[in-house]
Amino acid sequence: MTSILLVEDNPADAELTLDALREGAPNLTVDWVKDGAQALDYLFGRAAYADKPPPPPKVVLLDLRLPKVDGLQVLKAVREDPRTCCLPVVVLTSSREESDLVRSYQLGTNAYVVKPVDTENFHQAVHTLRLFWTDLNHTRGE
Amino acid sequence: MSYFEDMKIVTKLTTVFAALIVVSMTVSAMTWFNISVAEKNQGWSAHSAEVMGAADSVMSAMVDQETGVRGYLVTSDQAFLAPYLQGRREFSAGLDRVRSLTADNPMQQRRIAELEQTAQSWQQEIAAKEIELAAHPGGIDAARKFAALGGGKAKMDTLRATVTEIRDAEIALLAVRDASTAAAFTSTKTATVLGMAVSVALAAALAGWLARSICGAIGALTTAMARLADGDTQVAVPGIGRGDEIGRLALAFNHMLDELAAEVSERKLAEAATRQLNVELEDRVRQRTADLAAANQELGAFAYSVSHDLRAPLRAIDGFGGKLEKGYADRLDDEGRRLLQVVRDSARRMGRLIDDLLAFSRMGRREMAVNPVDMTTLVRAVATELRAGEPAGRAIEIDIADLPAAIGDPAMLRQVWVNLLSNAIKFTRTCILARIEVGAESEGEETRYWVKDNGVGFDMQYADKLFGVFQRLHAIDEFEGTGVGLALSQRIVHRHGGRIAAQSAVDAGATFSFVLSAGPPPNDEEPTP
Repeated sequence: MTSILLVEDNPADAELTLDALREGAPNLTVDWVKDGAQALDYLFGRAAYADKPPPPPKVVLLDLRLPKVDGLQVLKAVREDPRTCCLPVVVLTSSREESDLVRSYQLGTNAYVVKPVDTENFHQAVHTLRLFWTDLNHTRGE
Repeated sequence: MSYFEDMKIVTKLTTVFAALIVVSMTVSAMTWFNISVAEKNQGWSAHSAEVMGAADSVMSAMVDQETGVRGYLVTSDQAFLAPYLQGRREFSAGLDRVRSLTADNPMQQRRIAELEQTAQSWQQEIAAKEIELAAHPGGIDAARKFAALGGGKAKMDTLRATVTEIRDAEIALLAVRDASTAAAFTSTKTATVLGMAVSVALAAALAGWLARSICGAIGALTTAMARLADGDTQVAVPGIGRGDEIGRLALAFNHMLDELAAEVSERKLAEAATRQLNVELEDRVRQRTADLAAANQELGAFAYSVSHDLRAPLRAIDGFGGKLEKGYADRLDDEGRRLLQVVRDSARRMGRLIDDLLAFSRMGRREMAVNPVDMTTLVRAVATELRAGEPAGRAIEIDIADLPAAIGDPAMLRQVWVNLLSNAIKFTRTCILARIEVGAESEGEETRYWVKDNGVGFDMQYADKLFGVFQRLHAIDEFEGTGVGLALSQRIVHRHGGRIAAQSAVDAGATFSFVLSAGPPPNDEEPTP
C-alpha cells in the first residue's frame, strides 16, 4: 500500500495539496497531520499512533512553518533516527528565503519546492511531485 | 674669579683686548722713549768728541805759541814769531769754539775762563816779556835768562792741566751717556720680552677660557638640543646661575624646555581625550551597527513572514476560486464567472506584488559582488530574452550601440537593464513599430547609459513619482505591472554610487538613463532593506 504523509498546518493549502495528490491515483493513501509533533508521532509510532504504527510513507511532504515543532526540527529528528534516516522528505513551503533553503539541505532534505502562488502551477507542481516520488523513486525496504 | 665669571662675555672680551692694547702701547712707548734717549746720547757723544777736539786744538795752539817764542829766543829770527802769532789767533778761535760748545755746562765754562786767564797771563807775563826783552839789541840773553826762570813752563803746565780737566769732564759725561744708552736698550729689551710674555699669557688665557667656557657651554647646549629633537623634554642645560650671556641662554633654553614639556603633556592629554572620544565613538558606532543589524534582522523576519504567511491565503483564494470555477461553473451565470475571475486575478496580482516587494527588499540586503561587466553583451542577451517573451506579431526594433564596460554587480546591473528594456517594450505596445535605442556616452569619469523608446511616454510633472515603490503612472488595465521595477533599478544604481533619471513627454517616447562611475563603486553603505 502506497502512502504519503503531508505535514501542513494550513487547511486550505492542505485541501488543495490533497486534491492535486489524489488526482489520478485512487489507491493512494494520503495522511495529513497539522503540526510537527503529530508528524513525529506518526513517523515513530508514538502517542496516538502507538497502538497501530503506520507503515513508512513513500515520501513526506513537509511544510516549514508549523505549530509546536517546526519543519526543520522535524527534518532533523527524522534524519537523526536510524529508522527514518533514509526516508524521502520533500520540503514544500511558501518560503523563498535562502536561509530556509540552505538549512533544509544541510539537514538532509531530498528536495526543496516553493509552492507556486498560481493555482494551476501549484496543482501541476504537486501532481509532478506525486508522480516522481510514488511512481519513479525507490525507497528502502521495497 | 666669581666677579669675572659674572661679567658679560662682551665685557670680558673688551677687557682682555683693552689689556692687550695697553701692554702693546706701553711696550711701544717705552721703545720709542728709549730709542730717543739713545739717539740723544749718540748726539751728545759726537758733541763731547767735538769739545775734546776743540780743547786739543786750543792746547795745540798754545804749544804752537810756545814753540814760536822759543824758536825766536833761540834764533832771534823774527820769522820764528809767525807760529806764535798764528797760534794766538787759533787759540782765540778754538777757545771761542769750546766756549760755545759747552755753553750749557757752567763747570766747563769756568774751566774755559780759567784757561783763558792762564793763557792771557802767559801771553802778557811770559811771551810778551820775552819777546820785548829779545827785541832789544843784545837783549836775547836777558830774554833767555827770563825764560830759564821757568815761569812760562809753570803756566803751560797749568794750561795743560786745565785742558786735561776739560777733556776728563767730557769723558766722564760720555761715560754717563753710554751708560744711559745701554740702560735704554736694556729697558727696551725687557719691555719687549715682558710685553710679549704678558700678551701671550693674556691671549692664552682668553683662548682657554673661550674654549672651556663658551665652546663647552655651546657643546652642552647642542647635545641638549639633539636630545630634545629625539623627544626628551626632561633634558636640562647646564649653565644656569652664570651671570653672562651663556647663563641667560641656558635660562631661556630651560624656560623653553619647560614650556615645551608643558605643551607636550597638554598635547598628550588632548590625544588621550581624543583617543577616549574615538573609543566612545567606536562604541557608539558598534552599538548603532548592532542596532541596525538587529533592525535588519527584524525586517528580514518580517519579509519572511510576508513571503510565507501572505502567500498561503492568496493561494487559497486563487485555488478555491479555481475549484469553484471548475466544479460549479454550470451553476454560475456570466456575471458570476466574471466576478470570480476578478477575484482570482486580484489574488494572482497580489502574489506578484509580494514577490516583487520581496525582490526589492532582498536587493537592498544582498551583498554586492563587484566585477567588470561587459554591458554590450549583457544588454544584447537581455533584449533577446525579452523579445522572445513578446507575441510573435509585434514589430520591435531594438538598436543597441557598443557600450563601455562597467564595474559592478553583474546580476544587479542585469536587473536594471531588464527593468528598463521591459518597460520600453511594454510602453511601446501601442505603437505600430516599436523603436528602442540603447546607447551610452562618457562624461568625464562617468558613463551615462540610456534606453530610448518611442512609446506612450509620461507627463514630466509626475517624474518624481516614477522611482517610488508601487508608484504607477498608467492604469492597471492599460499597462500591467506592480510599480516596483524602477524603484528596484534606482536602488541598484544608488548602491553602485550612480544616478538614474528619466526624460519624457506624453506620446513622445521616454528616455531612461543611469550614470555609473568608470571606476569601482564606492564602499557600499550598510545594506538597507
